[in-house]
Amino acid sequence: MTGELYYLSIAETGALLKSKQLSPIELTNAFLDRIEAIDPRIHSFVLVTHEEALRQAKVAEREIASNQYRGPLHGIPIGLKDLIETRGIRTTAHSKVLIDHIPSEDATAVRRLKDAGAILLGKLGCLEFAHGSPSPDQAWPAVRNPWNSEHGFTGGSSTGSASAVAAGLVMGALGTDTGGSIRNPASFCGIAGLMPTYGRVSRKGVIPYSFSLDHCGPMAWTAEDCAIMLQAIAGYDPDDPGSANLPVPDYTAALNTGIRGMRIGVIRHFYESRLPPEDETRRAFEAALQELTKLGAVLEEVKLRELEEYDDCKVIIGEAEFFAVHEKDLLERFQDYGANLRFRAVPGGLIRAVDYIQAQRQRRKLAAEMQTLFAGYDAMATLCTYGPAPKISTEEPTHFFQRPNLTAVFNVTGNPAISIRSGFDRQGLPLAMQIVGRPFDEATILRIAHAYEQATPWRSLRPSLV
Amino acid sequence: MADDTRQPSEQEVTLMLKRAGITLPPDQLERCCAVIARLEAAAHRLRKDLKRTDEPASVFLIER
Repeated sequence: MTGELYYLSIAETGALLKSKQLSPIELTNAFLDRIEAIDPRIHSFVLVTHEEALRQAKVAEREIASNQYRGPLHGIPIGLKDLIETRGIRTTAHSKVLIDHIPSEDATAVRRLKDAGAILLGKLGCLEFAHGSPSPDQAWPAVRNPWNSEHGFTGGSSTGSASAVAAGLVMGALGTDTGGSIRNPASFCGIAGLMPTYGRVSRKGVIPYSFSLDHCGPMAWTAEDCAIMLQAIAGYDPDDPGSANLPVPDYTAALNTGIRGMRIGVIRHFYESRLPPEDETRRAFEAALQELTKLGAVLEEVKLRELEEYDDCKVIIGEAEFFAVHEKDLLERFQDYGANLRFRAVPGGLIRAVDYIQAQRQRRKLAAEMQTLFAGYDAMATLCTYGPAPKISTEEPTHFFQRPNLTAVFNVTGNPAISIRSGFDRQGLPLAMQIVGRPFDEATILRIAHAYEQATPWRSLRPSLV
Repeated sequence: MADDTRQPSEQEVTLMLKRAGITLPPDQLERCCAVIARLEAAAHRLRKDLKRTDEPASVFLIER
């Protein structure tokens, strides 16, 4: 089979593999060739697991040929954020601190992807420990955005995951999200990125940033592909103390049932008054809302607390927990951290215990209020970022802390949220919106996202990489 | 975001870092001060109207 295999979706490719019209080995080789050709320009991989990928592809080929088809991920090439541990394969968190770290076990999510038959192509770059920013002293070059590989930032921190999916170097990837680290890079790179409910996907084997804010989730070209990946990785894990022991629904079953009659709350006040987004971003969002109305959803303005209240809570909890994770290494091998992480990480050690506790008390209130509000809605929609991808910079010192992002709200409350493309700006950079769901109701936001993607042309456009 | 930050002096920050066993070069110290100011502002804004019985989100269940 010829053609641009790397621009098919997981759903499309799975059907071809199942019907034996496409060979897992042929597919894997096509992706390995593409990585070799394209990745030197975008630096999305920190490690390509060439031999392991081909070994897994041979196993998949043999199994499918003998009618032992495992499901829609069988034979699908994927990548993993290098924050997620892989047995026998170096996992660095994009840091010199873990440059020699070879885990003895797979993260639970990785094990489940392997059980589903996915083919691991390699480990993908990220911001250092999911919290740094690009700096010249790091072991790998900064990941580039395939929509503007010369200047474009990918957002953080699942940078390589978003970039590799957008460039067609993997069909899906895992990312992690502590304040927007799946949704922001998904937004800047024009892909779909799902942060599942806290507790829905195991964090076991995910190098922690903040125990109580971390989520692991899928990143792919379409919402449907995210649903397929979520199906494989969701579910209770006794090895994760935050894991929820709840049944996992069929995420693809209702994808095509439409959204007529759904009630969607629209959150504009987060950015309207004091933090205006770029005009094109706002217009794309309003046009997306009109599309949802055309599809039969009932939209209504909804008001939550001020964005700052959620952000303050997230910053205090996240920074304190990050320092707690890294205290020993920060004190013993400070110079092994990148320059742009050092000054960010240290202040977390100076947060007063009482402020951390107050933030956790406030968080409980914010989460409870959010779930009460959700009684009247099937989902909520808001912007994902204030604008398209900015230019990459290794100089930015503290902008990370200057303006609350639009995503951390839902890390504080634990709700699931997906970022999907809502158009392009005049320079051809992707824009995105965020759809938020009730706890453990990823199925509904996937259904909304899928309906929107089916009704709009945005998914058909890929970055112009040769 | 409301600008109610109080920029701690570099001397104050240096002292706090010394207690934590960390020394930063001058450019890093300046950036660190900016981050600390942001964190202090966030902590200052945290709600002060919590009831005595309001529990933190980190309370947990003991499984049998």
